[in-house]
Amino acid sequence: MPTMSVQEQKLYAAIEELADRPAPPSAIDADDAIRRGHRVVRRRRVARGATGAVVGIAAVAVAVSVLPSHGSSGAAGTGAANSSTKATPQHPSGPGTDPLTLSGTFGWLPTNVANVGYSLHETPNQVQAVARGDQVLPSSDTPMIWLNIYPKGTTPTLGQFAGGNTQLRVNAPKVNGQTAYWMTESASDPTNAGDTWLRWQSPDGQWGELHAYSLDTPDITTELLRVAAGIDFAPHSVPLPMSISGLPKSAVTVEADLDRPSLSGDGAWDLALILQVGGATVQISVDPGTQHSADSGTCKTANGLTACVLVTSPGGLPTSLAKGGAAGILDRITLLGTDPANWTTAVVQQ
Amino acid sequence: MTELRRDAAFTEYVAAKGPWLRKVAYLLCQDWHRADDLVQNSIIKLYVQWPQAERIGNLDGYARRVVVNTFLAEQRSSWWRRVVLHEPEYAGHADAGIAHVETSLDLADALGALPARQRATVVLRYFCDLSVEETATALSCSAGTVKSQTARGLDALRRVLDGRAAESAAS
Repeated sequence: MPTMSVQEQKLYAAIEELADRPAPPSAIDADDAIRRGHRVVRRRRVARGATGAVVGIAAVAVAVSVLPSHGSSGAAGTGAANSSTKATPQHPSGPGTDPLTLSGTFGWLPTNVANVGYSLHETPNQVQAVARGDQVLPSSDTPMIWLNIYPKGTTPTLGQFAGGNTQLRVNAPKVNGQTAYWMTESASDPTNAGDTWLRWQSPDGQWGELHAYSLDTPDITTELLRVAAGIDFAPHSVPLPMSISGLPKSAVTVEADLDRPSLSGDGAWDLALILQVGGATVQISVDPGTQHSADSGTCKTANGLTACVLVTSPGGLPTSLAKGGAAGILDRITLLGTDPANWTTAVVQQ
Repeated sequence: MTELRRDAAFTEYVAAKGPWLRKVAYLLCQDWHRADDLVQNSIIKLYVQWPQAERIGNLDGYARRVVVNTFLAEQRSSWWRRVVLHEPEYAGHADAGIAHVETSLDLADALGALPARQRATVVLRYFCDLSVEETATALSCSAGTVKSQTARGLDALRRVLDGRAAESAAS
């Protein structure tokens, strides 16, 4: 064994001491892991049986990326129903809001990062698009590109990376003739060791930001500049596979995620919505297929999709929803099938 | 029956190694609640991969790698900020008046300030006792990267480690 320095000996001792410090009771639960693991395994089997997994995932992503960027409903067009769809879904009518509405979306993407998903985070309160590869759990090497578009009039500043290092600005080639720069820890490395950040302005002066990692390409900078050049800064409402009606006006979407592939890595996509309705939190999940775990809440299956509703603090629901509870809310959900051409942007309807 | 055997073996493994994985996770994230979430997410992945994991011969190494990779993946996305609702817990222990706990907290702060991969390198080298080559394999990087990350990490932690030694000498 090589000789240890004094510093190393100190670190061995200190880190051992830190690991041994008093801890709260463990919340690790093997039974819960088995339950959730079973769900992943089952759904993975279903996905394998139903599609040519990876090819299917890519095909879905491409189909969505060419949908109309903004409009009343994804259903307005083709009527090209998926042959596996059991019945023609009833499309919601009337005005509605789409929680996944953002100020732009991806255009050109590398072929290994072709699955586009969207997330509304409470903090910051804006929607991000994320393009990712096909790799699924347990790999952490999935290539990803996050797109963030700053509100008009907002100029992003430099600060610190999560690890505490200072963000440095390194000028990049112009994007569509507009100012662009890399954000990095080291001025000599614009790629920031593969954890790469690019900011640039649209012709209207709006700022966009790309954050990419695990791209596995010999020329990250050229690739990201091309992605940035293809970003469409026009407003974009993402069609979703469900709508919900009859909510009180006070209902607020706290979180919304359309993940491709699904976060658990066993399906082409999954959708999660978290709404604050009165004093209750309503979690809605929608997945392709008919499987769901016992802890998903109250569930139903229609048109090849399964929706589950979980209500936290049901006592806080407004009177109009309190009587039916989770089942009543589930009744207000319309599932639009597996074909993205039938999905809608009129998602949350009062 | 096969599934029952699998579940029993998995449960037994988690009971035996969960505390150790929890310590690894805690050193990576410096928060016991987040460490629990990290391990919980990791053991779900471990369960899904259990038949393959059992066959590879180094189950502990595999499980540790899943924890580290899950941590690094979470650091790169903003996912954990959404799913972890706990406050940082440094101030939460009433017994923090004990001198060595204070020192541990200093080290926790210093570790937390390291970039994620550098922190993972330090934890794998000095808590998990992995060699440079083993650490390189676990992190899918070169031995040279491990050496440079270790050197940077040691340098960054030097102030805390030196302060710790000075306190010991004074007491």
